[in-house]
Amino acid sequence: MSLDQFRLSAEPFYAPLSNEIVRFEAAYHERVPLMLKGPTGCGKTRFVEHMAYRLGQPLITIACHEDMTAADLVGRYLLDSDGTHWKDGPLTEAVRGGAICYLDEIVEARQDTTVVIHPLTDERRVLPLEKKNELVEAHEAFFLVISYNPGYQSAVKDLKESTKQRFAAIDFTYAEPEREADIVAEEAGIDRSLAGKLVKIAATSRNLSGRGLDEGASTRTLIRAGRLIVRGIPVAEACDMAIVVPLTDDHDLRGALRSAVSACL
Amino acid sequence: MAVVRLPERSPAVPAAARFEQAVMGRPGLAASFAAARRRIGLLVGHAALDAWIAQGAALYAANAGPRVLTALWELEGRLSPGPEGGALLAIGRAVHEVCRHASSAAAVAAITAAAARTRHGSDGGEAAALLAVLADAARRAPDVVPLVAALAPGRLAALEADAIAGWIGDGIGLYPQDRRRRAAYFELRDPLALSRLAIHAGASRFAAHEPRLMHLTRAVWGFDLRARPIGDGGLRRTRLAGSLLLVPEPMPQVPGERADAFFEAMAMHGAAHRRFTTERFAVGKLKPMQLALTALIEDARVELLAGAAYPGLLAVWRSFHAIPASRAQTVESLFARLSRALVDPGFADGDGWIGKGRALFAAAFAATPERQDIAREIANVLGHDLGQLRIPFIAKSYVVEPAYRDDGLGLFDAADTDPDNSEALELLIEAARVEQREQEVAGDEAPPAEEQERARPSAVAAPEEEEGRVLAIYPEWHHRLRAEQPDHATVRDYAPPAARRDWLEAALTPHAGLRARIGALVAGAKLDRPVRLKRRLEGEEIDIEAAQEVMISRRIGETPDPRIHMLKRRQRRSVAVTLLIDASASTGDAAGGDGGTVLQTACVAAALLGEALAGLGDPLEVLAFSSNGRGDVRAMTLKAFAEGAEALAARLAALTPGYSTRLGPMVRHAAQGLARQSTFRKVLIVISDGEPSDVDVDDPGYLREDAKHAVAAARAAGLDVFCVGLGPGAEVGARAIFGRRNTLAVHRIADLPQRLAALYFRLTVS
Repeated sequence: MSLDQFRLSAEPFYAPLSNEIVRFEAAYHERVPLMLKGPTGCGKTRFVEHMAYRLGQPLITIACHEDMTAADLVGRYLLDSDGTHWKDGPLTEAVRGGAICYLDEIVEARQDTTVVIHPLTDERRVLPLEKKNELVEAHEAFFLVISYNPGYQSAVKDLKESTKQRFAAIDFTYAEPEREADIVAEEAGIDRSLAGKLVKIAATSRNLSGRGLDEGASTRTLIRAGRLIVRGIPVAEACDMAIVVPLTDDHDLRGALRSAVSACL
Repeated sequence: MAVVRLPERSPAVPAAARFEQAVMGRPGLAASFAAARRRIGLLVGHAALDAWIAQGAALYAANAGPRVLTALWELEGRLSPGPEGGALLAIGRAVHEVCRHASSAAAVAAITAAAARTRHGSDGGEAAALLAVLADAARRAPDVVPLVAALAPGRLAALEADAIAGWIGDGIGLYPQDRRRRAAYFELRDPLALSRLAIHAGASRFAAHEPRLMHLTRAVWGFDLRARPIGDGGLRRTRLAGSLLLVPEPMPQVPGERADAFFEAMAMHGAAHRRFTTERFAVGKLKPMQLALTALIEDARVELLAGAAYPGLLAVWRSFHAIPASRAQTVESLFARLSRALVDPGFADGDGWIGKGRALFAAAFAATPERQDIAREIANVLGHDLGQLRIPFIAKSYVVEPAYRDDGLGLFDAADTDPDNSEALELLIEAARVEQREQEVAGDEAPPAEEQERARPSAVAAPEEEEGRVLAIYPEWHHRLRAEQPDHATVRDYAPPAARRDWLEAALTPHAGLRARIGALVAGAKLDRPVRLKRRLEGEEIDIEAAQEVMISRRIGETPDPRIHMLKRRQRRSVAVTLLIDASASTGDAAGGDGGTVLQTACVAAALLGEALAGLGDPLEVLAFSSNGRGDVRAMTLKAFAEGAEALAARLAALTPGYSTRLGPMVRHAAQGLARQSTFRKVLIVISDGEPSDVDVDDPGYLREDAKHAVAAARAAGLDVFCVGLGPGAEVGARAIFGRRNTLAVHRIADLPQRLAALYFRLTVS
C-alpha cells in the first residue's frame, strides 16, 4: 500500500520558537511518541507538517472528536456484493505503511477510544485488530504524535494518566511578540507594522484568557485577520470578523475587545 | 383707560366677536390681550389668528380666570410662531386642558414653568412640549401639575419634555391611588423619585458599564479595574485612591449618546495613572493652583505614554476635548485649553501662556517621558506666570475638564504637606477622608503595597455580627414601573444554626415504606449504562448478525432487511436540582396529621429526597430562605452542590422558622447557582406555604410580580422551575407566580415527602 498521497510536496512555513525541531528529531529517531501541548492556533499542526516534510515521511492526520470510536481509528468490516471485507482505518494504515500519525486534539476523543494506541506507544509497537483477530507489527518508520490543549480541558475531558505517561512532550506557546509579528506578516502578506498591531491586539485578548475568555486570540486568527485586510476589509472590521466575534458571544466582553482593538490601532 | 384700537379685522365667528368685545371691556385683560393680538396678528396667517382667538374665547368661556389669560398672553406675546401658528395653538390647547382637568392655579403654574424655558422670539416648541406633558398629567392626576410645574425651572430644568413625561409617568404609575405618597414623589421627598429622575435625566450609571470596563482594563493593562461608586454627591469627578477608582454615582455630565466612550475614557485614564504615575506627588508648599496644574500636566503625561502603546486610546480621550480656541483669560477656560493643547497636536490656540506650557511640556516629555517630576516643575513655572497675570484661582469651584478625568487630588500625598500650607491641606484632608472610608470598605481586596504603607486607622468598624455576608445584590422588578430597579435586594449568607434536636431521624423512621418506594424509583432511574442499539438503518458499526442474515437472504433470494447497523449509546442522567425551602415565620404553623410544623414536614421531604439523589448521583443543592426587608434576604445553604449529603439531615433538623418571604431575589440567587451546573437539565423546586411578603413592602402585588418575573427569567435561562405549594392557601398564590402546570399543590402536608419525590422523578425521568 502506498502512502505517497500523504507526503507533503512543498515545505510548510514554520518559524521555530526555540529548539523544538532538534527535540522532535531526537524523539523521532528514538521512536519516542510525542505529545505537543499548547493553546489553540499556536502552530502545533503546522509544526508537525513541517517536521514530516523535513524528515521526508508521509503524515496521516486524524482530527479527534467525541463521536470517534476505536473502529474509526483501526478499521472495520464493510459490506460489498461478495460479503464483508476489512478496511483499515487511518491509524492502521500508518502503522502498516510507516508514516507519522498525528492525532490532533486527542482529548476530544473518548477515553475508551484512546486506549487503542497504548500497545503502539510502548516497547511492543503493535496494533491489535480485535475484530479481525490480527496483530499488526508497526512499520519501522511509524511514529505517533498527539496534540493536547491543556487550556480548556475540564476534569471530564482529560487524558488518562496511563495515556499521558507514554509520551514525551514539547510545550508550545505563542511566539514572542516580535517573532509572532514576523510570522503574521509572512503568512498573511501584510506589512510588519500592521502585523505588530495585530499581535498587540492578540496580547490584549490573551490577558483575558481565564477571565472571561477560554483562550485569547491565536496566531492563526491573526493571520486570518491579516488576510482579510489584504482583501480590502478595513482593519477594525477584519479584527471584528476574525478575532472579536469568533472569540465570544458575551456582550460586555465583545464591547471590551472592540475597545481594545481600537485602542491598539 | 384709553380705548385700545385693534387692527381692522372682523372675526369670522360671532362667538369670537363677542369674546373680543367682552375682553376689551375688562380693564385687567384688555391691555395684555391687545398686545398679544397685535403681535400675533403680525406673525401668523388669518386662519391661525382666527383659531387663536377662538381658543381664547373657549378659555374665557371655561372661566379660566384673568390670571391664566394674562399669563398665557404674556407667554404667547414673546413667541415668534410661524405663519401656521403650530406651537402657538398647541400651547393654547394644552393650557385649556390643564384648566379643564386641574385648576386655574395649576394652569398659571404650568404657564409660568413653560415661560421659564422660553426665550423671547423662539417658536414656542419647547413651551408647547412641556405644556403638553403637563396637560397629559392633568388628565391622569390633576394634583401632580402644580408640583411638577414648581420643579420645572429648578430640578427639571435640564430635562427634555420627554424625560419629564417619563418621570411623571413613573410617579403616577407607582402611586395610582395614594395621593399622599404621590405628593411625596413629586415633591422629591421619596428617594425613588430621585433615582427615577436620575435615570430619566440620562445620568448614565457606571454600573452598566463596569463589566465591559473590567474586561477592557484586564485586556489592555493586565490588571483588574477596582472601581467603587460613591453616591453621596461629594464627588464631581472620579478620584484615585491608590489603585481604587472612586466614581461618582450618578456621574455628572455624561453625554448620553457617547456614554460608552465616556466611561471607557474615564476607566482608561484612571488605569493610565495607575500604570504610569508611579508615586504620589509630595505637596510641600504647592498652592491649590499648582496642585491643579501638576495634576493637569500629569494627566497629559500619562495619556501620552498610554497613547504610545495604544494610539486608539489617545483618539478616544481627544474626542472629549471639545473646548475651542479662544482669548478667554479665566482659569476654567485656560486650564481646559491647556489640557487640550497638551494632548492634541492639531489644536491651535494663540494664547501665550498655553503656548509656553505646550513648549515646556513637549521638550520635557521628549527628553524624559517617564520622569514624573516634569509635571511638578512645569506646573511651578506656569503657576507663577498665572499669578503674574493676576488670574484668580478658586480651589472650591475648580472642576477638572474634560469630565472623564480624575479630580487630581488622588495624585498627591497629603502626609507630605508643609504645615503652613493650609489651603492645600484643606483640599486634601477632605479627599483623604473619602478615600480612607472607601479603602476600608474595599479592605478585603488585597491592597497594593502603596496603600499598606500608610497608617490605617485604629478603629476599623467591625462588621456587625448579626448581618450575614453579602452574597449578591439583585435587581427587583417593579410592576408599576414596568422596569427593573437595579441593585435592589441584598442576599446574605447565614450559616445554618447548630443542630439542637434530632427529631428528624425520629421523623424519618416511620417513612420506611416511602424510603423503599423511592429506592425503587432510584434504581429505575439509574440509566448510566452503555446500550447497544441493534438493527438500525444507520449507525457507527455493522451489526454482524444482521449482516449475516442479509447475506443469507440474498443467497436464498429473499428481500434482505436493510437494518444492519448498530449504535452504542450511553444514556446518561444529567440533572441538577436546587431545592429552595421557605423558612419564613408562617412555616412554624402546625401541619396537621402527625403534629409537626409545616417547615418540619418540608425538612423530612427534603431529607428523603436528598438521600435518594445521593444514591442517584444527581447534583443537589438545598437552600432555605427568609427575609427581613430588601437589605436582608437571608439565604442558608443546607447543602451545596459540592458537598456530600451527610450534613444535610443535621442542618435540616436545626432549621427554625422566622422572618418573611421575599421570594424573587432568592429565586434569582438559586437560579444563578443552578445555571452554573453543567448538567443537561436544571430543576429548581420551591417549597413554600404562601404568598411572598416582606416587612418593607405594603403593595401585595409587588413581590408577587417580582417573583413571577424572577421565575420567568430563570426559565428563560433554561431552568425548569416548579413550586410545591403547601397547605390549602398556597395553591392560588403559587399558581400566579409559577403557572398552573408548574405548581403542585399539597393540601395534606403530611403527604409532602411522597409527593415531592414523585414529582422529582416524574420531572426528571423520561
